[in-house]
Amino acid sequence: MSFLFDIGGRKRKAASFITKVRNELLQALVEEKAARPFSQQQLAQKLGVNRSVINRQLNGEANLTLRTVADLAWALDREISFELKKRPDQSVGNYCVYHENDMLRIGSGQAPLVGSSGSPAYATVSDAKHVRSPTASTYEQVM
Amino acid sequence: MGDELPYRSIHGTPSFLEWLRLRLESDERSTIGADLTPSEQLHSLLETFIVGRELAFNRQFHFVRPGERAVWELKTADLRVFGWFAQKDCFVAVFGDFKDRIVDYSGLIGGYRDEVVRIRRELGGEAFCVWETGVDDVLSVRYRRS
Repeated sequence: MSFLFDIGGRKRKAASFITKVRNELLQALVEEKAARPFSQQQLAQKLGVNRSVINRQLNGEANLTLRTVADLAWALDREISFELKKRPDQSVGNYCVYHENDMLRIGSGQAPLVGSSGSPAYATVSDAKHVRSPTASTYEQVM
Repeated sequence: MGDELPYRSIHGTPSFLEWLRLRLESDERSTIGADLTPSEQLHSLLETFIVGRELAFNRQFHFVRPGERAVWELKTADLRVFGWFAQKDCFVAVFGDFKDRIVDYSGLIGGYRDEVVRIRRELGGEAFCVWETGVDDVLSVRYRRS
């Protein structure tokens, strides 16, 4: 049985974009920490806010406004690049289900797992249904 | 997922899929004022997981956490998903719930872990379980910047 987790194109766009921005900020913070003595406390002090504010923004618990993103980029010494591009044709061969519906398709079937011998085996999780599977048989079934 | 191909997989028990369905149908707002709704947070979590992006940035910012007896949590601002890794990059989701509810009812987290262990055993999943508790033991990352 397949399960379709579809929040709609508009929400999908928002969720993906906001998460991407947040992940970029987190990645930048990790890189700065690795490159020099730099703490989240210093980041907060530079911006004149409490450390918990930074925490909440980067954990997804508080809104990331454009101003917030710009402030964090400045504090992390990063340039911001932003571009709106025309959407390309999204046919992707075996995964054409995405082209057709552009959804997070949740398929069914069994997950190929590797047994102790190293050869493919199948889990006896007979009641579990795939939330997502990369196997060709699942795509065939979905299609 | 645009032009990104799947890299990891998530499997769900019927009860977990039912919980996902409820999140879609109710389309509630965040209980903590997050900019993404719970269903949007779930979409982001599932997409991030499946396409192979980073889920554990450092000790402080991580969206996957090990628990006792190889029961793991996937996290969003509002939600927690409990399950186990059948193998590296392959997660079996059993329960989902709101973080606030889990905090309010202190016995819930232990209850969820016990139930994951029980269901894992019933499904024969004890033979297919990553018992190591390091994030690198359960997740590989497709895109990792140097």
